[in-house]
Parts: sequence; structure tokens; C-alpha cells
Amino acid sequence: MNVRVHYTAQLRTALNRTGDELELPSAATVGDLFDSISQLHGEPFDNLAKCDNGQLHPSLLVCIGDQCIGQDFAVELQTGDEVTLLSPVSGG
Amino acid sequence: MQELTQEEREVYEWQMWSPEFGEPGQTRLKNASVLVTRCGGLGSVVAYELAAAGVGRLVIAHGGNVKPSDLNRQLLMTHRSLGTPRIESAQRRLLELNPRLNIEAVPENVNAENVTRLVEQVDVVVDCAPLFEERFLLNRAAISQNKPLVECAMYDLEAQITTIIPGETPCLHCLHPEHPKNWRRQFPVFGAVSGTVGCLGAMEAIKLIAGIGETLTGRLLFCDLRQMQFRTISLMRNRDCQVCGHMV
Ligand SMILES: [Zn+2]
Repeated sequence: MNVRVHYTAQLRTALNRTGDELELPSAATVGDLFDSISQLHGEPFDNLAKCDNGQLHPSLLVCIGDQCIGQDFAVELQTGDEVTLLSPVSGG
Repeated sequence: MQELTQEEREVYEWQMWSPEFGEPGQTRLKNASVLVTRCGGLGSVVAYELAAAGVGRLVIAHGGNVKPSDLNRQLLMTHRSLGTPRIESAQRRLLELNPRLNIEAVPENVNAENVTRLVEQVDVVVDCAPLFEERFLLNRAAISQNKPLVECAMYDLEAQITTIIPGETPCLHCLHPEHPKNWRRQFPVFGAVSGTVGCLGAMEAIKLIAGIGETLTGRLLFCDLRQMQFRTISLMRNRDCQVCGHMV
């Protein structure tokens, strides 16, 4: 299935792109999506977005469509889903 | 509640025409107090708009002296005030706009020693601080004192803003349970971006105080000014949150 992922803020800068279209096996989860992104981009993604245990870093907000999913990365994706990774931002 | 003076009725005439706001709304603003921390790119504009709108008392907290690199966005700082305390420039500019304003100008950023006292004396908190350590302290104090907290943040041409009501909406710790990884404190930004978010943050504070409209409670407004796209994202509370999880 096809899933589109959008990157924001420091993550967008680090990857030097606004998003990717990824082909995932059916019933892939949000966690599987992160693994695919990590394989695709390697260190620039892992530096900001990956914990030592390989999970997505909890400071990133994950949204499917316009719904934030919290820390539940076992959620199954549907084809055509648009996932946004909101990289943490601050004031100044 | 202190009533409006004739001068105030004249100054705020145009906004008092706003439906559901009127003189009762203006009177609520006059009797309200807001903490803005810090008064940088975001906080300068939040504080300026709240001063313009006639909020009675502002507590502003901002350390350090004005630097050249402040001047593209910290609109309460002026070229003439380079090298002098930022808080003095901020206070002077706010009082030039609204001499009726009651200001407590604190020449330091939020820290573990001052946070309880700063939050204690206001009705609403607007967080415009750059460091997550400061923002987590402020969130914790706002939750424990049951004060609404408007969270303003930005990066490059993007912005995020949400309003936290303790026990009702996710708190900052629900959204970011840990300090971001390899997060960089300095980032690209235009004054027009911080100004946009600052105006949105000020509007949230005004609505909270006056009790009008719908605030960004449980929702995060994501603005992409590069593409001119605005999205509202529904947020979830973390029931296991260390800061607000105990509040039903
Ligand atoms: Zn929380």
C-alpha cells in the first residue's frame, strides 16, 4: 500500500525534503513506517527521530490525517494515509 | 471588578463593537493579568497586542541584553537599546503604547526558583520561551496551579500553537514527554513568522479572558507560511502523563 509522509521543522531541514511516498506491505503499522523512513534516510533521520531502543523518539508528534495518535505506534495504516511527523519546535 | 474609565471607552471603542465582547469583555480584560515569557520574537508581539487590547496587568519575564540578532523579530527591542537590558526596552515600549498598563518587568527568564511566583500572580500564561527546560517548568507550574497556558512555537516559516487547560486538554508534557533529541536552540526564523504566532497567541489569551469564541483547546494549529497552508490537528491526552495524568 501507498502512504505519504510529511516532515516538518528540524526534521524537514535535516532530510532536506518535505516528504516521501512509501510503498509498505498491507497491515503495516506506524512503527513499520518509521523503520522504512529510517532505512531510507539513515543517520539524518535517526539523529532527530530515533531512540536508542529503535523506537520513534516520543518528542515527535505523529498525526494520521489531522489526528494526533499519541505514543501508540502499533496503529495499522491504510493505503492513502497521510502521516505527518511534527518535529518539536519552540519559541524565541 | 474595576469599571472602564471614559478614556478607556474611547481607546477600546472599535473592539468593543465586536459581538459578544462589548463593554463586559473589555472590563474583563482590564481586570485580568497575563504572564508572557519571554518577550522575544513571539513574546514581544504577544505582550504588545495584549497591551494594545487593554489587558490590565502584564507580567513579563526576559533576561539578557539586546543584541543585533534580536532585531529582526523582537519587536519590543530597538536599535537604540542595543547592549541594554531587554526587559527595560520591552517595558518602555509597552508603556509608550499603553501608559495605563500595570507591568511587572522581571529581568530574568523562567527558572525553577521564580516559576511558582510568576504563575501565581496571573490569570493566563503565554509561553514564548525557546528552551524546553523553561517550557516544561512553566507547564508544570500552570498545571499544578490550574492556570490556562497558551503554547506558541515556531521554526523557519512554520508555527505551532495550542491552548492548554489543566485537566481538560493535553499538557505540554503529554505532547513532548521527553526533551527533544539533538534539538538545536538556534533556528531559522523571520519576524513575520514570530509575529503571526504572537498575534494568534494574544488572540487566544484575549478569548480565554473574555470568554468568547473557540480556543485551540485540545487542538494544535499548524501553520506552514511557506506554502500558506493551515491545519488544525486534534490532540490526545496521555493518561499516563507524569504532569497531568492524575487530573481526571
Ligand atoms: Zn500531560
